[in-house]
Amino acid sequence: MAPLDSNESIPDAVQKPSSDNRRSSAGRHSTFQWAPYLFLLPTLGIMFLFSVFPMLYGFWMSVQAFDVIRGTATFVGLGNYLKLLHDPQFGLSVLNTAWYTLSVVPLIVAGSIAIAVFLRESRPARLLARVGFYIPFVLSPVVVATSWKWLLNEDLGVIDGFLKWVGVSTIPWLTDDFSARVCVVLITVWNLLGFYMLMVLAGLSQISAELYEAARIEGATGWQRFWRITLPMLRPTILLVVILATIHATQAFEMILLLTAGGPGDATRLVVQNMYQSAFGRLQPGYGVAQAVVLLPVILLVAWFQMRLFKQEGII
Amino acid sequence: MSIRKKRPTEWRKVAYDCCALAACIVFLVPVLWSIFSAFQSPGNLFVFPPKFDPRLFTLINFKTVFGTGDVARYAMNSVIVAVSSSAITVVASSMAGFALAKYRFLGRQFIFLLIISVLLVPLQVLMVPVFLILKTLGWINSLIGIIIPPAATATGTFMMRQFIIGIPDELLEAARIDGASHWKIYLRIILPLSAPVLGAVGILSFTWRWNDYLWPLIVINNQQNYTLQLSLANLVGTNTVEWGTLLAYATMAMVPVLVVFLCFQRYFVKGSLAGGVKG
Repeated sequence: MAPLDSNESIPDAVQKPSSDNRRSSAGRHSTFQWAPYLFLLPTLGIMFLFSVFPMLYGFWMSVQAFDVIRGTATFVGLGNYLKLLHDPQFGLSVLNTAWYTLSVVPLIVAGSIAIAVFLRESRPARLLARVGFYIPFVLSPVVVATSWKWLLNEDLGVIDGFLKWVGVSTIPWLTDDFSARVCVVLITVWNLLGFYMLMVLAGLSQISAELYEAARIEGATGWQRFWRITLPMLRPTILLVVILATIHATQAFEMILLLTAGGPGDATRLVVQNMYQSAFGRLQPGYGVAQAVVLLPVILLVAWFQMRLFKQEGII
Repeated sequence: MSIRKKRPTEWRKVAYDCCALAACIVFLVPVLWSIFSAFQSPGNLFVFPPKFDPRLFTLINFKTVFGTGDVARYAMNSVIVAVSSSAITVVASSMAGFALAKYRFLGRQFIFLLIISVLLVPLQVLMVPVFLILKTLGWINSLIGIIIPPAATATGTFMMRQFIIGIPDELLEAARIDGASHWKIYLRIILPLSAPVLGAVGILSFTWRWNDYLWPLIVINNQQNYTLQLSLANLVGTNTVEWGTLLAYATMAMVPVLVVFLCFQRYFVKGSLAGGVKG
């Protein structure tokens, strides 16, 4: 054990350099150190105030009914949750979120693999992948929604302009239930694709060229190499893409709010938007939070998968 | 990278690169078309097929943008928010990353897992309680309410920790033998050596905070504290403003992010490989 001198709380890595760099100076808890906790304070402080506490507070809120005008809260137990069961609008928003997620995630996985496999062949193409295809991802939801609203504008937009020009009837892009749903999904995929494609591209670069060489010698076709080498080797990357894309999809809200405002009718209203409108529009914060709590298991499940993946990869 | 039977001939390579370029341009049509439209006079805006005549380009829409509100002020607010919030992110996440990478202490593993998992829970889900907390703090309608809450990011902490792990322990030991304090080791060794990641974290969070819409939407009600994104979103919602003006506004709102992205493109690659989610 290190002697208790005035420097007792200097970084351990400094005091006991060990052969294993990653797990340097393990298991020395006998002298309490303030320094790491102080270094963590800003992050943990903000996190506690704006993530941990809101979560706990949210649970408490979800069993209360608020009178916003009088500023009082009454305990209603599971009342808010029971109310959710009989709320057709909430049911629809859960359904909408489910189809939205189940369409967005596979499309992102397939699209990012397809584009990455296509673009990895040459240096200029890889540069395009990193720059050009990534651009939609760095744009704000407000800009994305504005651009697409302009493109899909009925009569005035360029897509309808083109359809009229070739003599085909125009499509009510965002005012028909089905096409609005399709548009919302495709625009989300367009928005996020570059980010995931880059992850796949990195995954592809990890696959050793020797594998392909061996397959070629054995006479494997390009298609076989894709199914037998590329896809299996990409497994961890694909898993990470699925996890992150699911998180992205369940929290999708801002872009859709601006694009369709949940319409036409309630066709593109997702849970988060429903929650937002219950809490801020109809001033029923307790009821709004109860909807967030319903989303929580999905998020926790996804987070759990991510932890497992990180452990497998040796990151944690 | 790939193995082929024959080395592709020169023209095949060129054809392939052209295909890739064409695909990329098609992918970017929505953005390019919006920017193109922003430079068209209201008379030419709805003409199809479009005329790609540079002489028809006009800045009139950009002038009318400034008639829709105190746009200079909104831009200033956006700059203040994005710069100060990412400065806090850089400092907080480098300190946290240092602690998690180079110290052994009770609860280290737990805290690391907590940071990653808790910060993955998006604001969207927490917005109602967060709003009430901000209200209690008196941060509603002030820029500080959009600066502080998003400043702790999982991606930033994670990126910093992964990088600092790679800094050799011998360097820290040498500093300690010279009698350097924790704080000095952080300032004199960790910070200078992790400059590339500090830059990456700062740039990524600048774009996140510049693009933020939900935070300003729930926190800011009075016009003088609007950010660019919030005022643009409000204009899009009203349906009373000309499309040319809206697109000029959108172009102005995306330019800083595009410039930062194109200049520091490699940092974005690093950021997305850290497995980070936006935010």
